[in-house]
Amino acid sequence: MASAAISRGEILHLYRSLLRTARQFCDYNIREYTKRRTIDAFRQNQNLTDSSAISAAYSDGKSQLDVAKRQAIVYSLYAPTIKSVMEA
Amino acid sequence: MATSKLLVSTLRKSLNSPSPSSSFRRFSTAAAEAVAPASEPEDSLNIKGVKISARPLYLDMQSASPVDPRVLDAMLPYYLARYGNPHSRTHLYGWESDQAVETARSQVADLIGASPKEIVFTSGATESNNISVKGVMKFYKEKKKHVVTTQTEHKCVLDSCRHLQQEGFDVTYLPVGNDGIVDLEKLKGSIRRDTGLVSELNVSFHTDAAQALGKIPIDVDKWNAAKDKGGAPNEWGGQERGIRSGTVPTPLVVGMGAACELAKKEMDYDDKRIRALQERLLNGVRAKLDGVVVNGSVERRYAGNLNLSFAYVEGESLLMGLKDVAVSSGSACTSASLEPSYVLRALGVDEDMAHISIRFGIGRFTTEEEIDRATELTVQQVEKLREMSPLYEMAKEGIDIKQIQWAQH
Amino acid sequence: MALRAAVLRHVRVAVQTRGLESNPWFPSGSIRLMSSHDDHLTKEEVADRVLSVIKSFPKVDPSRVTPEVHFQKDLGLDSLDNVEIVMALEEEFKLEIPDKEADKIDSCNLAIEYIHNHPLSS
Repeated sequence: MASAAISRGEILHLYRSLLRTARQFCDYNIREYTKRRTIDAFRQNQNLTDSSAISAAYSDGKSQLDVAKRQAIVYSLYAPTIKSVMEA
Repeated sequence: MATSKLLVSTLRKSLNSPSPSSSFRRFSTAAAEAVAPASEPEDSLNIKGVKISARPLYLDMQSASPVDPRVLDAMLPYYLARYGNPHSRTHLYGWESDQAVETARSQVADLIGASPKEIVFTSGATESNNISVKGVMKFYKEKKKHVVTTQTEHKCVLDSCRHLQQEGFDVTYLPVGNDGIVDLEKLKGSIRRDTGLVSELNVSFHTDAAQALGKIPIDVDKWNAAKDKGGAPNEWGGQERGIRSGTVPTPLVVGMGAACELAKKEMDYDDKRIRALQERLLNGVRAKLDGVVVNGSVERRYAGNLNLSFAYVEGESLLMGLKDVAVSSGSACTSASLEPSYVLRALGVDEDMAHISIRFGIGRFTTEEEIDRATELTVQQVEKLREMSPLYEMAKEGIDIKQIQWAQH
Repeated sequence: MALRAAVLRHVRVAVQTRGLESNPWFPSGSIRLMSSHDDHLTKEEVADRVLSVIKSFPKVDPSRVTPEVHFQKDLGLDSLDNVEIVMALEEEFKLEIPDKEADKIDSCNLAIEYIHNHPLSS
């Protein structure tokens, strides 16, 4: 499958969207994990040069974003009213 | 009719009113639970007679761990529209469930380096161990008569082995060292021409291979020595190849598959991080306290599991004091560097109690801040308990506790 | 109260759609007038808080942070850090900065200017 080159802007946009979505998780641990994992993954892939590797990482990130968006909603539906001591 | 009206108005009230009065809550609990299982009372709750105003930070990952949202995301469709029975052969519902189960089978196989044909979904570790220990040996009973296991193996494995012994099989129970690890030379030495199965606990103490799965790399060829020595069955044949009856629960199996795929992808990342967190916890505690004993091998352990004892501190009291940290008790097996048990016995402390340790279970979602908080709270609590301990005072004054003559109770 | 909310909503839309063609750092003038309520942050307050957010960013040497610094040229940060800094500023001032504009905030001065001019920052 031929894939168009992914622009820098698109990647930064995905990065920002993932971090924004992470912020929406009401669960302390999931929120922190999503943020941390996003940052670490983008750092790890920062020096990719091969365009097919870049587009693979990009489309993986896209699907992670979809999952995170759905799950942030699911988690919010079942949020416990008592917060973690880490947020209290 | 009247009931449903009541239910609706109750629900509406509970949605609207930010702080339902206690009488109202008592009245509505059942209905509210049936409709909205997620709802809990306001800013504190009473459970088992304890008033809790914040959820403790969770460091008990070996007891249970949260489902990863990515796994839940894979499972949910199979609770919603795709509810077919994977064994139904006559319609879309069955086909899509069947396909999902087969995908999961490949995902599990891929993680452990097996063939999908070798993966049998069961209800849990006990059933699995039963099937593998009894099943494998009965399958090979013409040629293979010998099973190797360890003395610290999970009870269900030992039960199966005992059962096999009664049927005339030979079983070797390997001893383990103080650190809970099997001497590989002894293991090699115990394997015979007719050894059909080597069953060995992977994550030390309290845990089993189901827990090791996805946390440390396992290759079935190495893990299950039966493959090298006797050759494990390649063909089972049937629905779950006839090994077990009962419908395979598609959502759970899909979740298992998704978790395995994720584990493979995340293993290096998780392992590095969990290791770092474990070191942070251990170093943090040791920087502030003396007499910290790690139970089990420090170097060769699964990093998510840190089992600690604190000299002069009764594990049970410490557990009770750590209200904001959810941990379990473990067993302290190296009593050497703790006070001798006869001392504790003389003090009237029950032997079992004297050997309770704290088991910190770290996982994928544990944060550095949680580790730091847990360290701080543990140090605080141990210091508090030691202040009350006459033994600790004596030890600090240089009295050799082992030389004391204790009056018998 | 309701009126104010309506106005602000309108202003927000205006900000997003008018974009930054003429003056990237803010459609000043009329909007500024409408939003200059007593509770709006002073520029000094904004500057102080922006600087402290940037100083607390893990990769930044706090002693090098002045209102004039450029994130990437002066503080050795990269484009990913830049995204994180802007997100941290959003959290500090309870804003959501649209992507197009967030991409352009690459120095302390621009951040201070943007936030100070934003009618919803608090």
